[in-house]
Amino acid sequence: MLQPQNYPRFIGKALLLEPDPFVEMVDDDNPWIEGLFLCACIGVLVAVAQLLGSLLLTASLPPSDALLNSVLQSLRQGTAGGEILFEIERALRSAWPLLLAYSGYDSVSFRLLSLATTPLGLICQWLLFGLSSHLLARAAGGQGSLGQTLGAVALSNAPRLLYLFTAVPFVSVAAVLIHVWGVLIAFRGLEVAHELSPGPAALVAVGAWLLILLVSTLAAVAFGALLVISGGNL
Amino acid sequence: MSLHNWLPSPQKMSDAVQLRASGFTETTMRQSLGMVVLLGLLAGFLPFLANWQQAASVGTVLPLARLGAQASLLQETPLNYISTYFDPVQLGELFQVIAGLPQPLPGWLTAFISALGEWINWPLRWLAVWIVYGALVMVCNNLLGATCRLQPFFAATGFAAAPLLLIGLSPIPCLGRVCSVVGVIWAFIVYARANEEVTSLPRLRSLTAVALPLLFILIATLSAFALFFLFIFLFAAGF
Repeated sequence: MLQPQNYPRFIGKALLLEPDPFVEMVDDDNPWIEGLFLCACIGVLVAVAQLLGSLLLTASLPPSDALLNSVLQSLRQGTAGGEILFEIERALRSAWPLLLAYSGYDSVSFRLLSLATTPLGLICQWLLFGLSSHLLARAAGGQGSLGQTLGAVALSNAPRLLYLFTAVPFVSVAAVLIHVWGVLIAFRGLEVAHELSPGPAALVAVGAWLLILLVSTLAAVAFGALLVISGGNL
Repeated sequence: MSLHNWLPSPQKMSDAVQLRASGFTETTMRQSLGMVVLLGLLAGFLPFLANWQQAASVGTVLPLARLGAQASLLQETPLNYISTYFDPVQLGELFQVIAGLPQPLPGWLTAFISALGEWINWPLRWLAVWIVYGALVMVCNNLLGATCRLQPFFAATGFAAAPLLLIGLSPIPCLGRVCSVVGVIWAFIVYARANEEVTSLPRLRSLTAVALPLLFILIATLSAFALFFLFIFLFAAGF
């Protein structure tokens, strides 16, 4: 049975690497459903915070068109000329929407879209991480079921709640903090769910994270290649 | 939810910064987490006021106010490495134009929001160093034969945040920089002492475990820079 009222306590204790939330998650009648709902909740909260941050950032900065025009005007008055100037301007114009989307500046519609894509992305990442860590944990002699692994590993998304601070513009949360803390939590979760000793549990957590990193890198490279092939107009 | 659950006693903090063994025991990770966040906020308060004042005086967000200040500096003393690629006067003018563009919100409010964002970054950065560097040190500790668990390790090493409070004095001219350097060195010493205490490793091994991640980060940073410049070079060659 879904118990969202327990999530704040689970998340707080998971962040402190305490075993209790993992034990409760593993003993739940449907741990993977709890995990799924937890990931969705975190994803929605983060997306709402980022949307708010995007709105505030856009209201705090000059219009993006004015900013881009100022830069381009300055470039045209500079020493560079002819073909090079044309290429720089073209590169800047094609990179500008990506920069805006990435920073959240003047890209509220993109952030609205992320209300759906952030939870979905988080759920996909959790499923991939959960599945790979389950396979690795079983190979390392673990005893837990897939549902228990998914439930325990879902708590490794707890550090993502730090992204709630991005509702304030100019707050930046280091991705490395989110990932490393997430791996530490997953390590504790795998220890509990699969009754593994610390060494194998650490290797499984890091191995599953490396797999996610590999998949993400491949996806980014594929996206970049598509962008290059299409000449920046996807 | 009492304060005692979220913060170690002042006596513990005092013992830890004086490198007394008693300072690193009987503290929970929750207390250390609270201490890192609170001290990060305290350290960031003076810079927050300075940043707010700087941005409010220009009536824009902090990064643009800094760009404007950079523009004045560029025009006064053009740097050689910049003038190789750009006309410093023109670059300064661009920075000033950008800093002067109007924004929808009132200037004092945008200044406050951006300074607040910078302030919140203080505890977040400290958390990042505490957790990420700690994870790397724990790997080294285990490789060097230590058997301690994550929670007591993070509980003890959180005390390194106490001397870092000195970084908060950075807006003070001259003295601020000296305090920052002293704070960082002191924090490193407290960190090494905490690691030695919690892992029970011999001093040399403990120091090695604390220093090795620095070497790793240095190599990783240099590699990232090399890759970045290679990418820029390839991109430029593509023109």
